[in-house]
Amino acid sequence: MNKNNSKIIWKDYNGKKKLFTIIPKPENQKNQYRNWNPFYSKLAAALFNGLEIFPLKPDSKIFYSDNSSNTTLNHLLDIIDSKGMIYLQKNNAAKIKNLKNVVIIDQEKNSTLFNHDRKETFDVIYLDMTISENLQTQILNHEMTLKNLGFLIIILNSIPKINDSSFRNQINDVITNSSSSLQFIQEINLSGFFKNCMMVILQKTE
Amino acid sequence: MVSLTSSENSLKQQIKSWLLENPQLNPYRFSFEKLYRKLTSRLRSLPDFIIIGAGRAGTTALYSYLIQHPSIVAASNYNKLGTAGTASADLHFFEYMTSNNVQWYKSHFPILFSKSNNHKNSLITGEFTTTYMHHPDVPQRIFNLLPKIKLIVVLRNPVDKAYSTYYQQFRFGEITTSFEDTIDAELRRINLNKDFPELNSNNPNFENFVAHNIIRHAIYADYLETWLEIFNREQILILNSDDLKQSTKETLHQVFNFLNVSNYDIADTSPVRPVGVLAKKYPSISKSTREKLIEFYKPHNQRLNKLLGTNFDWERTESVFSSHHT
Repeated sequence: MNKNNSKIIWKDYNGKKKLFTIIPKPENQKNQYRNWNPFYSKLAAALFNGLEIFPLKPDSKIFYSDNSSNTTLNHLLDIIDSKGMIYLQKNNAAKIKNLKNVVIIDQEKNSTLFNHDRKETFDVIYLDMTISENLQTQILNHEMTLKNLGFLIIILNSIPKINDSSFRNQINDVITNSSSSLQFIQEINLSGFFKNCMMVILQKTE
Repeated sequence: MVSLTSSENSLKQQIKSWLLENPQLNPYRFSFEKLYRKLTSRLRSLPDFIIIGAGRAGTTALYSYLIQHPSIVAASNYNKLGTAGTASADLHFFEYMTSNNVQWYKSHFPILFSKSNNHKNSLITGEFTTTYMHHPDVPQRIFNLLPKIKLIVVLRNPVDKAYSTYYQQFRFGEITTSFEDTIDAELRRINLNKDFPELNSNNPNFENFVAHNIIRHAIYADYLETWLEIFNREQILILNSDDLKQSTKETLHQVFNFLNVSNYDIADTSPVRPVGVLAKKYPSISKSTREKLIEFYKPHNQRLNKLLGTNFDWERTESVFSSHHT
């Protein structure tokens, strides 16, 4: 079933496809599977809606910014192993304690991320954000901290209307921005699981 | 407002889940016609032919023409809305359903008591689902249930098919970027899959996502190779969508002959579109993009001609679907 190195596993239940990851357990304990529910996790919803390139690997260094539930964080923790690391930026991050391979970033000291020593740190940047006027600036700021050939995953919430031309222009501005070395890889409409929500994936190629 | 307690919420969730899992008993989806069809499903016949693809190549029109023949009976879910000129019949059975739901599949076809394989005047039935062609598991599943089925494939100039698919998906809101950005992104994904196969999400249903396979769904040779490994070449009729448009009657005679029914001149050959697709015009594809795609498809088209023994000349010609409707 799991042909490649990816840790996500698709299984067939009465004709319906379900998605699982193995929850890491200490040795001599039986493996437990975590079902990825696309109604609770936008990453799972994107996979169910046709996400083709899944850039998260066991040794990935991931910058993760999401103020919704911790479901996707749990999914990411299933994927990474001891070599991987998640840099978590979250409003209520103080409640998350004692998690292995997680570094909590204080939002007020966010600027430290963009210091020279943090440049080109991450393999994957995962941003769950709402559409705003400074969308492009935010993306370009994060681009600096992304490694070459790294992936930027953006979840755009509260899209006024998926066919709205102003929204479409914002996406196109990001994709076609000449000062950016980000290349457009895929867009996935998350309808069916999340309303007015889509995922855009970009890759840095210098 | 009265707020629900947690136990009431949980009960509500359980009822909702049960109704989702048992749609035939769901009062919101219940109909006497469906119940009657289900009860009589054992008497109903399985299809004699299936139009397996390709999407945006005239399959809806072909099906609506075929069922005008007095010996060809439409599947129950076929719904032609005369004034709008739109029709729908896609069942998607072999993509999503498991073998124990054959009765569900049969319930969509008519009761044909006069059926006989060798009699020219016997009644036949069939369905069309344009995404069957692309799904890797469908050929074997169809063969397991219907080893003697006749398959019809309509092929359109791949560049025009890709462009038409793009505009359809753009209207549906599945795509927001320009055609050029969309195809460039897909080409990048094709290269990423080649260079870094470990990054592929391995979604077993990936081929079903039309919006993410705009270029690849028009590489017909890739898909038809699988079909020809499982079915005899004689079981598959390949049609050119340009022929269907330009010389409809002759092409239909070819199909009637393939289906072993008598020749017949149908009365209505007006265009038919799938449900939900509006008759809006869209701008022509740019010359440079067309040339780029022609170059891309060139080796694949040569492979297709070699595979099928056909002579599709798509490198110079445009499709005759000149009105550019999505």
